[in-house]
Amino acid sequence: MADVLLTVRGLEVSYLTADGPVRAVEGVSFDLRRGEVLGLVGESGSGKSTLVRGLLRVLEPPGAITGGDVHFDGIDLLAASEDALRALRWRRISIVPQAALNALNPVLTVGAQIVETLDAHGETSPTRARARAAEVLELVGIDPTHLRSYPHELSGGMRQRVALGLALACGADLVVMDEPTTALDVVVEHELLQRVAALQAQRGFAVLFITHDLLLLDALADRVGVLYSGRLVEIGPADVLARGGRHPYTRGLRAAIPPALGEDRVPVALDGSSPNLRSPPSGCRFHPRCAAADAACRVTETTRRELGPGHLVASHEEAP
Amino acid sequence: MSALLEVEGLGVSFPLGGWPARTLRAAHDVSFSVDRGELVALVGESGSGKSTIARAIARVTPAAAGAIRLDGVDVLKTEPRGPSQAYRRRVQMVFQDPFASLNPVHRVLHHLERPLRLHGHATGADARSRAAELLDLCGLRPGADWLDKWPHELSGGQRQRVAIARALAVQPDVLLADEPTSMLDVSIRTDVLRLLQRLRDERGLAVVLITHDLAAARLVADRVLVLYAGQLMEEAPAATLLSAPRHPYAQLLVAASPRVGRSLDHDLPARPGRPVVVDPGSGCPFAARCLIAEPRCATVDAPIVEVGPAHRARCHALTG
Repeated sequence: MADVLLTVRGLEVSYLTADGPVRAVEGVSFDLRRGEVLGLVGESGSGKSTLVRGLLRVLEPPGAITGGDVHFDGIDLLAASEDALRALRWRRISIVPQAALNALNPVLTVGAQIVETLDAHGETSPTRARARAAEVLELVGIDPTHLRSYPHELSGGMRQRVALGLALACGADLVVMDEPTTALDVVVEHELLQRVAALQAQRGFAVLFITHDLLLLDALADRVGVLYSGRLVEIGPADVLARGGRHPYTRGLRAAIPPALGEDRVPVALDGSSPNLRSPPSGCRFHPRCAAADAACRVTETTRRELGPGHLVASHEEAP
Repeated sequence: MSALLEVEGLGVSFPLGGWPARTLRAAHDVSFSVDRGELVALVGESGSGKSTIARAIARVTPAAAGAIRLDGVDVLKTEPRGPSQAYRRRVQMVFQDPFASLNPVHRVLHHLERPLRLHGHATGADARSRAAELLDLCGLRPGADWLDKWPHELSGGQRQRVAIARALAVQPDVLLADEPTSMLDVSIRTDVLRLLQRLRDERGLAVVLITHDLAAARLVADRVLVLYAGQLMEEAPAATLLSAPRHPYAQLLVAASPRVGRSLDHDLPARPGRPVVVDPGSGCPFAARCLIAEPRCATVDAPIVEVGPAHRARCHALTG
């Protein structure tokens, strides 16, 4: 399909430890269309950060991609040279990290960092770079007088907005957001998400939004994928998943969250914890915690089944 | 009869130095009470002073003003130099980070045995069985199986249960839980919150839950107190506060919290901004962000007024 921007097929990422490889991401496949917001949700140990680092090719050893294909707009990302990757980064693919305080250079002013980024990615005129840096701040609702501010002089929410502005500065088609609101208070989080949604609607970039917060994706994402123990157990339209989803883990995760405002239900905790990736359970990895598990779940690998348009779930054939 | 724990006019400030000297006012004129068998949530964003208040009650941070009464006795007067061992036994604290609060070089048993022995609740072999009982109580069953594990063998949720068991070892009357679930995976938060609720019901503990999460407060708290810039803005039964908040800041917090069918289209009912806690002066700390602020709000401290049964708020607009 021409409108598919990012294709991930059977991606496998491992950590090569002294005791042998530990597969942190396994058999993950999905497509991301142009202008689409895809949310990936997972708890700690689900492999969500490893997945992102893998497909952006920023994994640090002992992490390594051990299988699969990743294509971005026809370019094979896993085979691309460092130079080819450098040409893509920021101009076509950018990232908003979790903790912007760590992502911004503490000894450079905000303006200097934006100018530096623009300069490294094709803006040759210093005057124009400075003018564009002011535009970048205005885009994310920060007064351009803050071009002279250092990161420590800004609040957490403003720093996160600077990081968002930087990610959009070079007109990327794909913006990866790795838990950008985790460190923020709810009011500031709401403001940032609102801005992301408005800018996305206005400029039409695609977003891959990584989070542990399923509720957040209800309002923001077009589609949602659920990761468990390194595997994608379900992916589907956000409104379908907002109604509960199909995979027992998706349903369990939602049922375990304290009810949101306006919701009247008794939360049911998910027993147990995510499996140790060094010795994952056989069959479906969720079976030790799953109330619906039967004998097949313990031994047989799950397959991907299509339940509706764009709605895939990892399950056993005999499952309803 | 007075409540078990009464906090009246509590103030905490930290000198910041400089010339002229500046002062950070972390808590100001905070009054509330918690009785046996009651769970009260202190809710606020970063900088609201919620943790400072808990630490002042635990007496690990000195109070600058006010009274902290346990069973009617003002301990700031009777024990001005620091808390007695008896007070430290009766008021226990559980911290946010279960990865930092357990000593990595000691097994679980050591963490429970120490307080049991130091406070004379158990000796010799008795300590082991008492420790196992505590773990049972906190949902690590059978407790005896967990005593010889190392902290690194436990998940975040399991560690937090050990931390709670340790606090309970000395048979406290008051449990101060400072964001006990914010570092845990969403699927196990509910369980830990339920544990606090069970301790309230079965042991008659007075529980103070510090949280930024209104949904968590709504799930388990009897009463909710909303803090902003170190001041108590509103106090109400949990259901009332969530459905009919009266203070503009409480309304903002409720509007920004995750809700079913949330849309990012609506603007929040406040101007952006941050609490000012350094040399704040008089007046309502929320005035600069408030959409209904009057001239007096910026200069005159607002009084706390009753607005309903067990429901009070600190706002000029409510004084009529």
